[in-house]
Amino acid sequence: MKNSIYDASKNVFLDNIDVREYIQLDRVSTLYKSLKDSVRKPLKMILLYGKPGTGKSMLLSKLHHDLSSTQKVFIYSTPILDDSEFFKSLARDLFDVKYLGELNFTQLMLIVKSKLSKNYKVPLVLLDEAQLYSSEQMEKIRLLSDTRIVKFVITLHKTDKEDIIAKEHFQTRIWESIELKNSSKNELRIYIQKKLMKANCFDSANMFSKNRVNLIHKITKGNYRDTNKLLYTFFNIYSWYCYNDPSAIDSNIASSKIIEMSAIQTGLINA
Amino acid sequence: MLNINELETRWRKHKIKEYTPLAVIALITVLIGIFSIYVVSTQQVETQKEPSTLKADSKQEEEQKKEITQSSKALKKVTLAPSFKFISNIDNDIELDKKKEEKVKKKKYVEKTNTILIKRQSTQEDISYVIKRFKNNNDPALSLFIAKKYYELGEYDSSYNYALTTNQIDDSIDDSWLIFSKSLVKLNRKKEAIKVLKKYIKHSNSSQAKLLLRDIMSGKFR
Repeated sequence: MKNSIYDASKNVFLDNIDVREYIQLDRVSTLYKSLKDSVRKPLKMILLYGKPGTGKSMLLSKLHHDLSSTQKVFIYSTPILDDSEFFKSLARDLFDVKYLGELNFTQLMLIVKSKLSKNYKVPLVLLDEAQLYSSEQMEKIRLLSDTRIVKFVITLHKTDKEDIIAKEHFQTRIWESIELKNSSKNELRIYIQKKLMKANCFDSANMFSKNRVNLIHKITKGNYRDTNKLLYTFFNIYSWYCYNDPSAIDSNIASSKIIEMSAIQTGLINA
Repeated sequence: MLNINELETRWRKHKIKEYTPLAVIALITVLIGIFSIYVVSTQQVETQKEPSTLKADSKQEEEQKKEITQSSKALKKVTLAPSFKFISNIDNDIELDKKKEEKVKKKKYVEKTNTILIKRQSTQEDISYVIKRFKNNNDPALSLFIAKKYYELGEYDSSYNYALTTNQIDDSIDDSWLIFSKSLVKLNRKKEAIKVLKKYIKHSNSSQAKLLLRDIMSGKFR
């Protein structure tokens, strides 16, 4: 019986972006509300930035999910690095134009002009991992946003290089920038427990006392992706013990030894 | 695929690595603590020792001074002058005893006359009185007193006997051994006196005994 609990708990922390698994935390909810408000404003661009694993992609997916019923919104989760392919994707999604052959920026702008009308509603394009786009592509995206025929929400990893990109291309255009940060200890505790309880893993949720969450926070520094990775391995190891050596584990409290073993296994602790 | 055994080994190594610096710091702290306690305790012992050693030094100096003065006196007078300070105590004791007796007698006298008669006894009588007391309490101070008195009176056989008795009761009295040796010399048993003094010096390291031995051997004391 216990085995199924640990297996179910393990699957909760699979690293995938599923808006149904979005965990509402106070700070993240506030940021999400502010992101939604920004989308309603007549801004050319909105920048969502933060370190990897802080929940940018999840927030972007949620925004897409929540707005798709009320407005035209498109999400580009993986960057399209080829110029022609990128413009063709935009032409297809925004204006229902299926372009055969190469499509350059000038040709795209002609399509845009031909499609403008009085009832035109500015669509929203969500670009994830924007730091992967080249400078030239970013410049063209900027020019496109200047026409006000499309609004972009882009996410960036926060590094020195990406700060430069942000400065060069968007400094004067972005009217809203939202930074996502790693969770605090309390937020991480709520995150873990809510995530497990959402999957009806109540016993597993009760295993994470304040001390154990503090240990996890110490290892992952509150990074959601690292926490997911760590806890997936943690429940995997628990599951192994449950099958092979049940007396070695305590089902009432998360073993700090196994938390550390998980950190070693996932490379979060260098041992 | 999980390899739990390998993972546990890695975890153990990690814990050792994690706690090694702490253990080293703790060990160093404990060692420093022990060392500092040791240093402090040794300093205290030294400070406690210092005055006593100073005292010992000053005592040694005093003894040396005494030896010098005594040797210089011995050079001048040739004969030794033993200390009779304790005699005053004994005298006091005798006087106290006498007073007690007098008090008892006083009452009788008060009935008859108001005058107190103090009868001065001769030295011989004194000795016989002390001998009487010595027989009662076997006090080595009394036997030594008797030996000294006999020595003063030139009765060297008696002084020898009482000094010997004193030594038998308490063999650590310097004066008794000195009187004993002197008496032997006076009884023309110089060799025995030297032998006794040498043994006594070996045992007690007495400076007075050394002086006397030197005098006897050099012939200054006959």
